Amino acid sequence: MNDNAPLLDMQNLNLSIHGTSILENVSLQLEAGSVLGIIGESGSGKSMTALSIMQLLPLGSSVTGNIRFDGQLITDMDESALCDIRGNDIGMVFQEPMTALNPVQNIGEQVAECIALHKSVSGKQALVEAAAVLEKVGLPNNEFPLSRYPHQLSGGQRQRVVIAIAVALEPKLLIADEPTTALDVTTQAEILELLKELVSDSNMAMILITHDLAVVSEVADHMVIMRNGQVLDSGPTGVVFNELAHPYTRALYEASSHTPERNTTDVTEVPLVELDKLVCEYLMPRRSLFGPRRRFRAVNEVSMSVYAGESVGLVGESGCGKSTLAKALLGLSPVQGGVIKFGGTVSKPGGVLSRQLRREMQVVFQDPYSSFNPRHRVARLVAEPLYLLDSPPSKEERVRLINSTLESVGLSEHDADKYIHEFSGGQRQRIAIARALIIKPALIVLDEAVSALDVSVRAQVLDLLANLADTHQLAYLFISHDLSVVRSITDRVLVMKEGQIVERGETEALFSAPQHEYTKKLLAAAPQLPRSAALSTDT
Amino acid sequence: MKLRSLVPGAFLVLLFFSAALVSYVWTPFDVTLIDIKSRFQSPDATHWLGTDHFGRDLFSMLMVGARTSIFVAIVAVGIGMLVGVPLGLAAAANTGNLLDEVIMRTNDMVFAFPALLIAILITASYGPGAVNAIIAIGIFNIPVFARLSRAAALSVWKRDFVLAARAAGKNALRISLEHILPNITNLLIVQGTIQFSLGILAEAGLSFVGLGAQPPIPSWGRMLSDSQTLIMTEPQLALIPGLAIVLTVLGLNLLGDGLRDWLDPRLRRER
Amino acid sequence: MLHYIFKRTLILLATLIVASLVVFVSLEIVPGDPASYMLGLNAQEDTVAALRAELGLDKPKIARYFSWVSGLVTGDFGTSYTYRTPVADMVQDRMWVSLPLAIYALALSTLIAFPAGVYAASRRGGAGDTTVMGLTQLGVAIPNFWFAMLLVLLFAIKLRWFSAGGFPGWDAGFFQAMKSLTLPAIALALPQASILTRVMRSSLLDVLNEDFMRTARAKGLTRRQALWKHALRNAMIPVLTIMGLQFSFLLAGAIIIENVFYLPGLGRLIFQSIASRDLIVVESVVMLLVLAVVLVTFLVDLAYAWVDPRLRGTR
Repeated sequence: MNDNAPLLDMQNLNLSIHGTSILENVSLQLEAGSVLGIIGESGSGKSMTALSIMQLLPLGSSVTGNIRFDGQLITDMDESALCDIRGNDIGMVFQEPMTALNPVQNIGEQVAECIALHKSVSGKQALVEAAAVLEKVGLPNNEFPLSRYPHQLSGGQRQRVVIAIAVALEPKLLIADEPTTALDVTTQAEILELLKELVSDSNMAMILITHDLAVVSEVADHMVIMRNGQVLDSGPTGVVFNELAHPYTRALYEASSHTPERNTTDVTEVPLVELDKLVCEYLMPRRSLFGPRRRFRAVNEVSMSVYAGESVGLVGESGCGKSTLAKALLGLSPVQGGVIKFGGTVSKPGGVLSRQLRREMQVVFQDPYSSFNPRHRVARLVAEPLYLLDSPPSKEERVRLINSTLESVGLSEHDADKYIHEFSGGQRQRIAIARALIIKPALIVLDEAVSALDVSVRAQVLDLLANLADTHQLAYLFISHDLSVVRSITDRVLVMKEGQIVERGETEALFSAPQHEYTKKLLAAAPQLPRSAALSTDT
Repeated sequence: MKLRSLVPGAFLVLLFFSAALVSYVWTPFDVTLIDIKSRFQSPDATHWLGTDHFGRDLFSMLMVGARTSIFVAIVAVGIGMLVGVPLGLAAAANTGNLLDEVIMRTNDMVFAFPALLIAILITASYGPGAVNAIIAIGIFNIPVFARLSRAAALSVWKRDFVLAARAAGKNALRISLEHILPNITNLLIVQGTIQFSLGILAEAGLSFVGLGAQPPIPSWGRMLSDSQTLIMTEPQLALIPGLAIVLTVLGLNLLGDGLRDWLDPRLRRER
Repeated sequence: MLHYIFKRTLILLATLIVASLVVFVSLEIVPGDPASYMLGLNAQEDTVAALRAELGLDKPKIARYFSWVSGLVTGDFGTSYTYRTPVADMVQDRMWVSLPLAIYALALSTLIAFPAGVYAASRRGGAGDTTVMGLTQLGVAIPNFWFAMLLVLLFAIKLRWFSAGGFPGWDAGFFQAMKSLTLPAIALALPQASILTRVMRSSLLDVLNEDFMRTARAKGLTRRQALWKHALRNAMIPVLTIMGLQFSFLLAGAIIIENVFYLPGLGRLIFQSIASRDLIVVESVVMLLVLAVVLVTFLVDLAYAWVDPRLRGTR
């Protein structure tokens, strides 16, 4: 075996599934002990590239081209030889930690299984080794005994178990497919740190697949940029970022750090909405036989206000109560205490929000796929809030309203007759914005409204939002876990943790000089895009 | 691919439905006509499927029997849907509330009474008859549809478009009708055909043991129980009505499978 | 875990209480008086009254309900109106036919369905899968009592391997008794096995699509190993549900099948009792069947917790 040969050498890989071409002429190399980042938006083929290395492609796949791993031609191996390599020489970590583990097996068994499969050790010995590996990935046995089941662990802890399975046998290559996408920013930082440590400690090579340029810039030595199943750009990470040689790389970079242009209008003196000591509680399942049901306080005496025409950001990690707060404000979630003041009206705690108040507030949700009834046409979907009007508009008036609203979000009146499945994710979010806009509200709550979108689409939607705010004098409550997006589109920011606002202030001031420990921690954890020489020389 | 089970299923179902419908206006022979002279005839040009121990024309009895089976099953499924679906929707709209708990616990209790037990209870109190069969099968269908529509509705309630509808000021009843029901109809249709076929089997079973339709109304189940003592000498009297049941139920199940694949875009690529 | 069992037990008891009310009310509002029915149309009025008193029919309904229920709990099911023998004795004899028959059929159906379902799922879309699915499609469509008649025709009349009906009793020896239950059990098991096979297959296919199956393959498990070690136990949850429901269908089916094979089980008893308006027997047998169904549901609930650690409630 040639010592200079790369650990992994993929040459001209073509993949089609049921006749549809997925990968075209993909070639990439990886040296032992180094980290390769594969970057791409959804549908770029980056995950399929990883699965072809594992030879775990879906049924109906046909592959041409060569993959050479550690001197052996993987593409020619039979199934039993592949099984010897999987888990032993190549480990893999997946995106969704909540579903990647077997729910009916405890974590010890799941890690030990991999060890017992590839090493001739007793079951007991495998469990001992599993305990050591779990310790290594940050799950100390006194706190997380082997008998824990996946449902007793958080997302980050589960991802550590998945990593433990992948690295249990110190493979030569670790493939991590979007390992932190489903995690909170601070957890993401911890997991990335763990992966970096594991790679450098045991001279393991790693392929990190992600959509996030900032993540790759912090971890990878080399990177490959993919789009529509092809490799467009590749090279050492520093060089790629500095030169942004390929136009697509440049477009991605710009979209990732995009700041929409906004007129910062003068804010009025009187707040549009005011929350005063708002409390939202959930009933928890009973723990003991006769004990009272415990209450979980998702929102704990939060006071805040939004002024007309202003964009307010609300940031925090999952479970901090930010979505519950938004739903309470919109009257979609019961309130146990405090009041909501809107204009002159004050809502009773627990009371139903009046139609008049609902008219002033609309909402855009995160998931472009579940936000629409698939059985209705766009016209009916967009017109739904018109139900709030006391005198319904005439048929012509209604059509005119639908068309003009669709046009204002960049769609055409022809789209009104289509069903939602005919649209892409970005177009769907435009339709969601149109639905919020049609009743001319004063405030739109954007609950992670751009989080599910690819960066280039996200940039366009952010531009649209900035534009609409200016032309319609809209106020936004912009809820997101993504700090860079919040920074680019809000005037003020609130930081929420465990049901309370821990810090608030002007966006720029807060981001450049955070006061609260938690805010500092959040900001430090967020991966940063490196500055690019290519762009600084342009401007 | 998807037409593989839809077409033969629809064909069989249509065949038995039209036989049942035609029997209202025409049958080759009068099924109440007892003609001892011509009993146990083999199939020929006059009696297409032969005659039974009373000399009644088997083909005519099958046609009228189809009518009984289909009528009982349709009404029973109708009862199950009309009562069960609103209950399921109401339970889903009030999930976690007392109403939900009451509806679901009542359902569980009904499940402890298989249709046969309900039929036995009714028959013991009021005597046998086709109406008993309908009520017994219908009652047993209620929790089936209530559970199914509750589970399906719950998954729709979790979708964001329901939140958007609530933000548009719509109440639970309106949301259930506008958003939930249209998104669970496919499931209900498919389950409907399955329950329909189970209803036909149950009706046959009940009339087989004498708890269903009473003479002189012909029914497939009773044709079978009549043939039981004659099975050594005249096995065709047992085979023919049995085959009619099998083909009808098979047709309904194929139709259900075909409809599920056809109505569900996610499944169109699979199987 | 305790909490879970406690809750299930409460539901079990509540179901039984409501069921007993339903049974009692639906049979007690019956038009017609068992006493005058038993004595015939020409009976003297005072004779009827005497019999009513003897049977306890003159007491208020609530008192009769409580004495019936307390009787059930203590094993005293009352006295048959027609046979004048304790119902408990009658029921006990018959139960030892019906219950073994249902369990025999459940065992058969499980033994057929598990391998068939796993086989079909692991060969999804292939010829084996298509064949198994086609057979189950047929199996669900065949009424069990008709299948029973076909079995009699073939194995008892044509081949003479089995007797066409009757039950020699357990005194005749285990083998003889089981032999006479074999055809009925096969007839009962076939449709249920078909349903169970389909459920097993689709449940397995669902699990095979789960992310953790990919994790299992990435560990280096072969497709087969992953199926046995990870998919099967996860696929059991819906399968258990159906098995629980099937037991009630099997019991009900047993009542019908007993008529085809002339087996002296609960089914024969209940139909004779209906014919002679021996309502106390009907009440007791129906209650007993409900009890069996509810107990099986309870066992299935416990089995869930055994299969799925998420239900054990250590959150």
